[in-house]
Amino acid sequence: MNKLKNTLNEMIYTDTCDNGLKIVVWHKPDFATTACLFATPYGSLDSSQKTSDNQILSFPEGIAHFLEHKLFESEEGDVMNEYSALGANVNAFTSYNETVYYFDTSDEDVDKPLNLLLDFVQDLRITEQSVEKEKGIICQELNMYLEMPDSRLIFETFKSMYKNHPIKNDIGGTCDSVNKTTKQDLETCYSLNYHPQKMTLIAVTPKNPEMIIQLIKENQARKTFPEFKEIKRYFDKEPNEVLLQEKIIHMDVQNQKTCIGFKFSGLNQTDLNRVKTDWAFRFIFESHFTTMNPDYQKWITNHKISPYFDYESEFSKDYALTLFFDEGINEKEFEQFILDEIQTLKEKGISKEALMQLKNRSLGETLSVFNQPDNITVQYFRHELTGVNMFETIDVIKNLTVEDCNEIVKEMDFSNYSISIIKSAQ
Amino acid sequence: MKTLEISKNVNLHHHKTEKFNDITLSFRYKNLISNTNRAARTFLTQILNDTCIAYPTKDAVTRCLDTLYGSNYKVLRDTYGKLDVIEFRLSTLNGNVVNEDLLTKQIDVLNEFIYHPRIMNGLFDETLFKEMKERLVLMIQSFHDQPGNHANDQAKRLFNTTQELKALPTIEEIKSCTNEDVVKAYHQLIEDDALDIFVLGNYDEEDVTARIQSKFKFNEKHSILDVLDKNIRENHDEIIEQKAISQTRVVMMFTTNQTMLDESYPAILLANGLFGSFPTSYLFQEVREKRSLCYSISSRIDNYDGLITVQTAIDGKNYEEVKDLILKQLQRIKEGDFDDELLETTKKMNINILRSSIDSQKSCLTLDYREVLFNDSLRIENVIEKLRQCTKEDCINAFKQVEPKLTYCLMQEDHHE
Repeated sequence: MNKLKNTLNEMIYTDTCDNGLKIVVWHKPDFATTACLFATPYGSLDSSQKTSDNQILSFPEGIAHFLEHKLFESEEGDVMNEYSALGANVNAFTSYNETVYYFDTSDEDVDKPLNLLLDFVQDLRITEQSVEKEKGIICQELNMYLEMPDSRLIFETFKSMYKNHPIKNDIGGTCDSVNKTTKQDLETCYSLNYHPQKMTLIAVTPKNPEMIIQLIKENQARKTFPEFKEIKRYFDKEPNEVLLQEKIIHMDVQNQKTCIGFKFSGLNQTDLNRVKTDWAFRFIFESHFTTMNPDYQKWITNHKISPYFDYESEFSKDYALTLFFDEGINEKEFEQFILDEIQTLKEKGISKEALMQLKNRSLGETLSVFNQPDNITVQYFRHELTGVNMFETIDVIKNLTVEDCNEIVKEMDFSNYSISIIKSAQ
Repeated sequence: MKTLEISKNVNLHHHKTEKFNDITLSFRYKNLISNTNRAARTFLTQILNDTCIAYPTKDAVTRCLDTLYGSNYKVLRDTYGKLDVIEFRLSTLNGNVVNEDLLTKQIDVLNEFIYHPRIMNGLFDETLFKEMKERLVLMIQSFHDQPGNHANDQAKRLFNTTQELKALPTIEEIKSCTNEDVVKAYHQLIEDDALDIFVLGNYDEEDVTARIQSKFKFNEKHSILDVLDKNIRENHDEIIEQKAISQTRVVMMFTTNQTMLDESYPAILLANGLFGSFPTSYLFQEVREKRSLCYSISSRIDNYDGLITVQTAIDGKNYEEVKDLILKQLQRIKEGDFDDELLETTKKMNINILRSSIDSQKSCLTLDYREVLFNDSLRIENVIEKLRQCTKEDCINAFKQVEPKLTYCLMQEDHHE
């Protein structure tokens, strides 16, 4: 067991079970709540995978999300009801890169819900009938997201940007892919991706951390698992160019919504360098495309952008992108504005003062995450997935220089982009 | 929580805790909805959030908040029963964490935003006012572009005049609101609205009291005692509207004929838990789990207004079935068709939520405000104790008074009977 003190002198304990399960326990003695997360780095992008003997296994889109729904079934009926009987809240989510199961409780008894978390996630119990029943629920969920113009705009932009990379598919798949999913598919994916060696358990708790670790180890010692087999995400090589340059989607909306998605090659570099690039890019974009930039007011006043203008970026091993959004703005003018400003940004770069300002802000934001037990668990896991933990990331940020930021943005190629527009048919 | 009256109807509430790394200052101004202009007050939430005389540009504001380590400043408007409340909230990293005095600047900054807005010659800066008007129009349009938001807002408007007042302002109201109207609303806020100041975090109470008293000058305010609203609606109506969407939204509203000051408050809270606010509830089990008719369904209780609202998103062809199922579950609770085990589970869930809420800054402030509005009668410990004592009969009796009063359906246009 390793012990670590964070910036606030809080104790964090880490350990690994004999079967490979990684454990993190963050001690929060002043809190009433215990929040626990149990996660696997298996998300919607992993619907096709390659085994160590080069066998390619392909499953219907959205299978990770389908599996997440079905794990809530237990011998007794429904895991949610078992948690309710303990007075605890349980839930789960699937994203592109991960599936996360979590609960929180303020009850004195943490052992029962924690054992239950380990047990229900490590025991898939499904029948043909229960798989069929879930399809209707998932289709309603997918329809709900498709009806939300903001999430629809992102889905459509990804679809236009990517030809092969699975980010072109919605996290939950489509009603068609959900209806094609079988009990056998779910069982195969489960056995490939829920081995304890792939998984992490994170607890934030006022309870004795060593006892929590002991409980987890005892739980794992009672179970046997097949031998761990390495498996990786698989997709055909993604071209540099976008698939479609422009797409118009008609929905019943009052405001036209536009998204421009820039596609970059994935950052196949060391984890540390990738995280550094990610932060350098975030900071330089933040310094230019937000209210930090004195020109921002002029852009609003001259209707170059609306108050809904926003952007987001993601840099991972196998894809990297930046999306710009706005509402009620002509798409051609918006495209020209973004291209002009990227050019200005490349020439101007970030100032020393702006970088210092952003470093201050990010330190405050990180410490503010430490206020919320459930937020700590998710953020901690997300950092682990990048290969650079939460505290190493603080150091990466601290050591970033103006030159790092400016060089990174200068090297980026912004020539591959796609525009999606949602507007009313009238 | 410790409370001091620092001017007539201006109260300072200290909530000292070592739990959080931030110190939060929250100034809550309240007036009766019947006295306020909602469009102008909505304007205030934007205009007083944007800039002020000391920080007259967006970049100056951002720079200022970043010197406080990315301090979070918000102006929010909400309604609580008969009250229209505007809150100024500034959360800042506790200076002890970085060995700097951040609190002095935090108090100064909040003072600048609340008391020194960009009003010149009796009007808000005209460019700022124009920008905020455009922003609000866009915000309201975007809000209604989300079918769930639109259905909810529409149901409120159709319910009765009391609820209609609590809906978002319309685009027409925003467009016709003048700079003079907003300045008038600002003066009303500062001069008339009763004020509660909350300080949450790890700090010296005497020191903060002295700083606030020296920095802010408060005039005497009117007291507001009557908070809770009664929602009356004679008939149960069903209203169906169409929209070009591919999923149907259903909002069903019920009057409870009870408020949070009634003896039955814990019972109605529990009964609503049995009905539709947890995964064990009848709505979740019957509509989603047994019949796969929806992804989410919930019943939310508003105890300030004595209302329960059920919301779900379904395939339009199942509308009649879902509507019947919701009413059947209501009837089951009224008839006591639930066992002691489910009641115990629902109690545990409610108690867990209440206990966990003290671990979140936002929930702490919400609970503190509720305590202030109801003179401590709804302290969390009291409510937990009352929940424990609630019986099956208490829940049945409380739910017997619940009546469906409006079924609003935003029907997908591609659906034909």
